[in-house]
Amino acid sequence: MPTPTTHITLLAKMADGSDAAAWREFCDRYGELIRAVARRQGLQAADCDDVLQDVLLELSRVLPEFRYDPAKGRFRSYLKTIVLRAVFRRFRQKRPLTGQEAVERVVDVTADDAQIERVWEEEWRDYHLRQAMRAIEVEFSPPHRAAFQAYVVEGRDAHETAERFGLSLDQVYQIKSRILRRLSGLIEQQVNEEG
Amino acid sequence: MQSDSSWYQDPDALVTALRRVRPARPPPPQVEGYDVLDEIRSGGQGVVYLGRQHSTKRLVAIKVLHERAMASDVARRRFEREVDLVCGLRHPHIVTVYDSGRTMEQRPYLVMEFIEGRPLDQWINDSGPWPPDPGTGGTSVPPVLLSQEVRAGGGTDRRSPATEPRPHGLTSSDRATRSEGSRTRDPRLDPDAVLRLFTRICDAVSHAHQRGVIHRDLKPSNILIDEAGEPHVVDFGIARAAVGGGNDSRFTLTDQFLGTLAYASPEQLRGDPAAIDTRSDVYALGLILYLLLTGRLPHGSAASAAELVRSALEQVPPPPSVARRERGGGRPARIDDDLDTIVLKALAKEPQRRYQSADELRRDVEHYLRGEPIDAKRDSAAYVLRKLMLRHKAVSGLAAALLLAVVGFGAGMSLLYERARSEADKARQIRLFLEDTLSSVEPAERGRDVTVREVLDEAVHWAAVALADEPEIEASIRATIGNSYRALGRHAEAEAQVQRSLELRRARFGDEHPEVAHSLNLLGLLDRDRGRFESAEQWLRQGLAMRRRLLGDDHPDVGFSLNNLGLLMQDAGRLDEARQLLFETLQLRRRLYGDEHADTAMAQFRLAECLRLQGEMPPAEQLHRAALATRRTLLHAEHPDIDASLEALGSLLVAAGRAREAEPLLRECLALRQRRLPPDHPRVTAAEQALDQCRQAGTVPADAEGAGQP
Repeated sequence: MPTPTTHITLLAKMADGSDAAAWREFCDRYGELIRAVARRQGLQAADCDDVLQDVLLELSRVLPEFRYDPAKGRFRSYLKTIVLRAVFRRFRQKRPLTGQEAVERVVDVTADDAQIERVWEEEWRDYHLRQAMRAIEVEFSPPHRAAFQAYVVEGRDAHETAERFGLSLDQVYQIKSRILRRLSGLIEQQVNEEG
Repeated sequence: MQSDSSWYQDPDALVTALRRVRPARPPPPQVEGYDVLDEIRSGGQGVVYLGRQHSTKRLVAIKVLHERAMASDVARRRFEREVDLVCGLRHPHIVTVYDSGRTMEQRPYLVMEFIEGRPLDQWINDSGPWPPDPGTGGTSVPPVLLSQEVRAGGGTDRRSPATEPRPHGLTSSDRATRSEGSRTRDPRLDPDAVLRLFTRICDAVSHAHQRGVIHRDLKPSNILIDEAGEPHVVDFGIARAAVGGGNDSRFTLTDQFLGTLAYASPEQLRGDPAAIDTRSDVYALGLILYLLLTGRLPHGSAASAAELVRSALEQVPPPPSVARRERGGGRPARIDDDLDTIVLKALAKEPQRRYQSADELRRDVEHYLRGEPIDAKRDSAAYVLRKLMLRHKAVSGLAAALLLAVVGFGAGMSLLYERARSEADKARQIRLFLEDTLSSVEPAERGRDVTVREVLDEAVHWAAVALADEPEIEASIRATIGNSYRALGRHAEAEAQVQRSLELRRARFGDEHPEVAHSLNLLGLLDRDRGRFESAEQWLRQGLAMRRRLLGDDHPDVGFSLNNLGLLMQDAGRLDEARQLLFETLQLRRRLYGDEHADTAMAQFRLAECLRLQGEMPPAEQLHRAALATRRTLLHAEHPDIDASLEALGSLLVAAGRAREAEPLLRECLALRQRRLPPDHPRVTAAEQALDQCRQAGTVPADAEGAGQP
C-alpha cells in the first residue's frame, strides 16, 4: 500500500524550498480546499485560482521559519488564517465594483465569523474525505468502488446495485462495510497526523 | 486532541459526509448522443459544458442542472413543461434549446446552441459606448473569454485555431474557435447602434412573451454578444423552471439571488408572485437600457443591499441623461428628453405605468431612432408630486423587510464579533428564508409551516435590535411582518406588529400620512379576518378617508381601500353597500387604467361575485366574461387569475342551469390547475368538485363513463 507522505514530512520538504514535487503534492491535497473556501466566500473561479497562488507564495515565504508546534495551534488553523487573508485581499484588489458586485459584497461582509468557521470546517472534512478516497481508489477494484458509489453514495437500492455490477447481495453489503471501515481508519490516521 | 471525531467514526455520519462531498474533479456527465468535451462554466443553476453532437458533429452547450434544484415531482413537471415551451422558441436572438433529457447520472440537462461571445456586462466594459477613452481604435482589450454564461474558468488553450471575424450576421453555432489575441474596439458603438442592439434584445424577449414564456431573470449576464455584435438571450424560463418548485430551491438561490436582485422588478422585490408577468421583463429591459446608455444601474450605487432594495422600491431613478453627465467621459452625451422618458417609463414602479409589452418598448425606441414622436408620455406633474409624497412608502414585501432585517443584523454582527454560533445559524436561517421568499414563484401555494412562524418571530426580534435607529424602516418591516402573521392566522402577533408600526409612523410622520393610512388599513384587514366587522369598518373607513384627503379620489391606494371595504361589507352580509363600494372601485380603476388592465379585471371579478350573491345573474355573467377576456389577453397563460375566472364563470353558469356551456370552462380550469399544482391541492379539488357538479347537473354525460342518455 502506498504510504502518502505524511503531512509533517510534506511541510518539511516544502520548507526546504527545492522540492518541487512537494509543492505539487501540496496543491493536489489542499488546492481544492482552498479554492472551495474562496468560492464560498463569493469569489469567481479565476480569483479562486489567484487565492491559491497567493497562499502558496505566502507559504513559501514563511515555511522556512515555520516551526511545527502543536501547543501553538494546528497547521489547519494556520492555513485558515492565510487563506482568509488572501481571500479578503483579493476582494480589495478587485476593480471598482459594478452594482451587482456591490450587492454581493455586502452579503460577503455580513458573513460572520461563525459562518466562516462552518465553511472552513465543512471544507476541511471534505478535504479529508477526498484524501481518504484517493487511497480507496488504489486499494479497491473499480467495480467494487463503483458499487460503493452507487449503493452508498448515491443511495441506490442494494438489489439494483448487485444486479448492475454482477455481485451478490452479500458482497454489496460487505463492500459497503469494508470501504466505510477503511475510510474511517484512513481519516483517523490523517487527523492524528495533523496534530 | 480532536474536538469532533464522530463524523468519521460513525458509519452513518460518514455516509452523510460522503454524499455531500464535492469530488476534486467531478467526472463530466454522460449525455447520450453527445461527447461532453469541456466545462465552460459552473454556476448556481448547474454546470455548462461544451459538447459535440455525434450525428451532426456540431458543437453545442450542454447545461446540466443541479439535481437538487428540482427534487420534487412538481418541480420536475414544471421544469419539463417549461422546457417544452422554451424548445419551441426559434429566434435569431434567442439561444436555441435543441434538446433536453437526463444524463446517465439522471441529472436533467438542456442542449443549447453554442454561442461564442461575451455576456453583455463584460461586453459593456470591454467595448461599451462610453469607455473613459473615447474613440480609441485598435487598442487591445483583455482576451475575450469563451463563455456561455459569465466566464470560463481555468484553461486557456482549449480552442485555438483562429478564425476570421465575420463581417456581419450571426455567429453560427458550430463555430467554436476564436483568436485569443487582441481585438479592436467596436467602432459601431455609437448611441444609435446601442439602441439598435437593444431593440433586437426586445425583439427576442417579445417573441418569447408571445409564446407564453416569461424570462424572469433577464440581466446582462444572460445576454451574450457574439463577435458580430449580435445579442443572444439565454435561459428563458429556466429561472422559474429550476427554482420554482419544492423546498430545494435554496441551493440555486444562494448563488443566484444577489445577481438577480439588482435586476429584479419592484413586484419581484415585494415577493408578490401573482404580480409577476411579462411587464417584469419589461422592467429588466429598462434597467438594461439604462446600463447601456449610462454605464451604470439607476440604483446600483446604493451603499448596501438594503439601500438597493429600498431605492428600487421607492426612488424614482435619476434620468439617464443626468446619470450620464454624472458619470462623465465617454462619447458625447446624446440622451435627450425623449430617451429619458422612454427609459423611465420602462422603469415605472407600477407595472401598469410601464410599457405593457417588450414590443411596445421596442416600437418606441424605434420611433425615437427614426426621429418620430414617441408614445411614452412624460409623467404628469401631479403624478410626480404624488410620487414624491410616496417616496418613503412602505417597503411592503416580507422579502424586502427581512432583507433589511438581515442586512441590518449582519452589520451588527461585525460589531458584536463574538456571537455564539447558534445565533449565527439563526441569521443564516433568516437569510435562506429570505432568499426563498424573494424568488419563490407561488408562495400562496407553498406550505406554510412552523419554520415560517419561527423565522417571523426571529425577524420581530431582530427588527427591534437592528433597526432601533431607523424608525421608518422598522415601521415598514413591522407592518409587513404583521401582514405575514395575518396570512398565517396568528392574529395577536399580527396586531402587535401592526399597532407598533402605526405608533412609529405617527411619531415619525404625524397623524395624517399615507403610511399611517397604510397601517390603519392593515388593522382593518386584521379585524376583518377575525370577524370583528365593526372595528374593521372603522379602521378601513378611517384609512379610506385619509387616503382621499391626502391622495385625491383618483389614486390606486384609494382603490385598494374601497375594494377592501367592499369585501368587508360583503362578508358582513351588507350586500347593497358592498355592491356600491365595489362598483366605485371598478369605476376608479377604469378611470386610472382603462378597461384593459389586470386591476380593472380584478374589480370586475369582485363586483361580479357580489352581484351573483344578490342573484343578479346576467350582469354578473357579463362582468365575469369581461374580466376573463381581459385576463386572457394580458396575463401569462397559466396565471392563477385566469383559472379563478373560469371557475367563477363556470359555477355561475351551472347555477343558472347552463351546464353545457359551463363544462368546457370548468374543464379548462381543472386542466390549468392540474398542470400547475400538485394533485391534492385544495384548488385542484375545488375545480374537480365544480366539474362534478356541472356533470351532475344532468345535461352533460361524464366523458369516461359513456352514459348513453341524450
